[in-house]
Amino acid sequence: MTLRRKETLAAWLFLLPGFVGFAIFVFGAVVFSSVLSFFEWDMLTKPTFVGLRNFTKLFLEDKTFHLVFRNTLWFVLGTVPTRVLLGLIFALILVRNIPGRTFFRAAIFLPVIIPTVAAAMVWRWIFNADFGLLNDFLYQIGVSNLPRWLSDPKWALVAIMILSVWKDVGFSTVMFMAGLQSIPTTMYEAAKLDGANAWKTFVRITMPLLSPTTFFVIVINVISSFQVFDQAYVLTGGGPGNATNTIVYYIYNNAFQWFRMGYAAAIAWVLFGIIFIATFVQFRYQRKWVYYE
Amino acid sequence: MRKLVVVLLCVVALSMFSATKIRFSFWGSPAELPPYQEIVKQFEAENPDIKVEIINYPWSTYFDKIQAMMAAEDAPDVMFLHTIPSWAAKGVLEDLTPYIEKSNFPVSAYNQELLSTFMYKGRIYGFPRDNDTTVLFYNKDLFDEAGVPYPDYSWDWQKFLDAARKLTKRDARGRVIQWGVVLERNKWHLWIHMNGGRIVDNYDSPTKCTLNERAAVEAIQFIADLILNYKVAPSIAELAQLGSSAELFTTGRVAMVLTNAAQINMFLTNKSLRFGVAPLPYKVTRSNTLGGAGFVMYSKSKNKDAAWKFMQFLCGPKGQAIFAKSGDAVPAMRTPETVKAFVSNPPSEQERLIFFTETGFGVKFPQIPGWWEIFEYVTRELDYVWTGQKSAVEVLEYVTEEVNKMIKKFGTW
Repeated sequence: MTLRRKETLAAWLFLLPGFVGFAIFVFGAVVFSSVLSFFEWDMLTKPTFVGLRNFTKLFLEDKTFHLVFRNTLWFVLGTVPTRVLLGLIFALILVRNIPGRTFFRAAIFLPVIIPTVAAAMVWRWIFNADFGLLNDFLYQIGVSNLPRWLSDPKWALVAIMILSVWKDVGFSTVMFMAGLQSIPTTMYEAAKLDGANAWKTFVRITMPLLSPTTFFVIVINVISSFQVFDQAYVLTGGGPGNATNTIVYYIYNNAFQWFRMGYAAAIAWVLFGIIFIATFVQFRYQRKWVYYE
Repeated sequence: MRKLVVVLLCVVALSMFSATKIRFSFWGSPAELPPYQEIVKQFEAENPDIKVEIINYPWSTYFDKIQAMMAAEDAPDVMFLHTIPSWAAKGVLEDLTPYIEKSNFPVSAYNQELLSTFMYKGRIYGFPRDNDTTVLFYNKDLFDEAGVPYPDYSWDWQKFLDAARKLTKRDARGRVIQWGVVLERNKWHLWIHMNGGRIVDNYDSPTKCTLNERAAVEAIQFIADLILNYKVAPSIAELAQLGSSAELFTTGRVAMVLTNAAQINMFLTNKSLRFGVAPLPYKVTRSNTLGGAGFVMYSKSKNKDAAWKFMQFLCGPKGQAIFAKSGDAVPAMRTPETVKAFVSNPPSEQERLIFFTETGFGVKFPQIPGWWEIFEYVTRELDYVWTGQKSAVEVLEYVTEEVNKMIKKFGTW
């Protein structure tokens, strides 16, 4: 066997475990769920073919789905801009040589690596309407009508958003910091020589050169926000009522609480479609504002 | 190759022990394990030719796992399940009627109303482990401090409400630091029944939902008033943040709780807590919860004889007495042994007997397919009443309409 052959063989062998894993647990599951979305199946009796029934029911009849779709959309609209904007602001501060930089960097990133369940347990207390830190703070600064965060359907989703932003803003911050650090200093020096002020430098140099990072951060945040599940699962159980019920939570309930596998698969595919369209649109419009060197 | 391995493993297994092995699954926390282990130990001592493998998952993942095992046709031989008819309808449970007849199993000692929830088309598919009887637990010290007499059979809703108001304490900012009573989210049906209301027209073969009738609406509004108007009970939606109802009671932050016997062991962890057991307050009538999970045999079990032998022990007087002895479970089978085992637990024999009296007032859940989905739906919608977003009338009106649709959709068994 020639060396080249040997190496090719070795490469394939190394790839094999990952490939087999992907084939069974990802590709296989994807194919299976797409077939399943046209069936009714409770895992106990034989699946029955129902054609497009799952999808028509989803779009035309299922009020709960419409509700969870709206909730998810609000969540995306509420969290993505906040996370991106706060991430950018934190990054701009933390790339500078401010005192305590390491501490603040760690403080911002730490929530990302804390398991959601543990974080939610703590936030449950922070959100406690009577004795929680948040309301106590609001009371101290003179707010009289304190929100009952987790038990008021109007505020519960906001509470989930706050937790999510706190939890994930570190990721955006780190991405932006990496992006900022890759902008050549020569650009800033040139701008300085040309007499540009701080704002001009930010708008004309930082923003355009950072735009590929911004684009990446937005896309990733949109995708992950559409898949929100664990925060709501732990913090509110989707309640009160359906106030914090989300698409992925609804998939989980259908699949593993009510054992409607086919219907759950159909919702999963609709969610895939939504995320696909959202991402596709972003890629179409990136040309207008993303600047690649 | 794989076949060869399987054959080899079988040979090895056979040569190691010739005992028949059965698998036995149940949900529950580690604290609930001891009676199960005790039963398996005693059974294996009596039947050295049968080995019982215990499979224990927490409640939250139990059903996913069991259902996946059933899909793979490899579920445990004996299982702990609830809503038995819905499983029986899917053909995954063994009809136990012939076994009962063949071995003279003392089925008549069971609470017959409760046993009827384990039947499907007139055949018995399982046996209840216990009844989920609700009683009123009260903190004697907090009652003494507020000068309120202890609850007894004379208590109706009005007396209950008056006491709850006296037992609620607030701080300077108006925040409650001691609640009168704590209510559990999934016990709303209890109040409807106490008020003489019904969830559906016929509990054995329901045709329509009756939640929009006056008695039901009144009962739901009463619960909402306890939370929102009188402010003597913590918001049900906030309960998860405060800790479970049993935790609140154990730590003395609430004077009364309506819950089951399984919580007593938690109460006992606080040595300074002096608590009593009282019957539930009544309104139009006395009522209680009737229902509970129980044991069934897998229809595709490969060792049905061994499984039945185990079930006879587990669900017979001996097994029931072991469960009763733990004090957690009101025995579903009433024999002198099981009653004695249950009442010889704290707080006192006399108070323990209240559980049996209260069980007699039990009303079962409607026996229809999809009941748990209906129950969960109603429970979710009632959140809007507990949080004051909507009135009881408003919610129960559309809930009734929706439940009627669900009853039609799920059909009959």
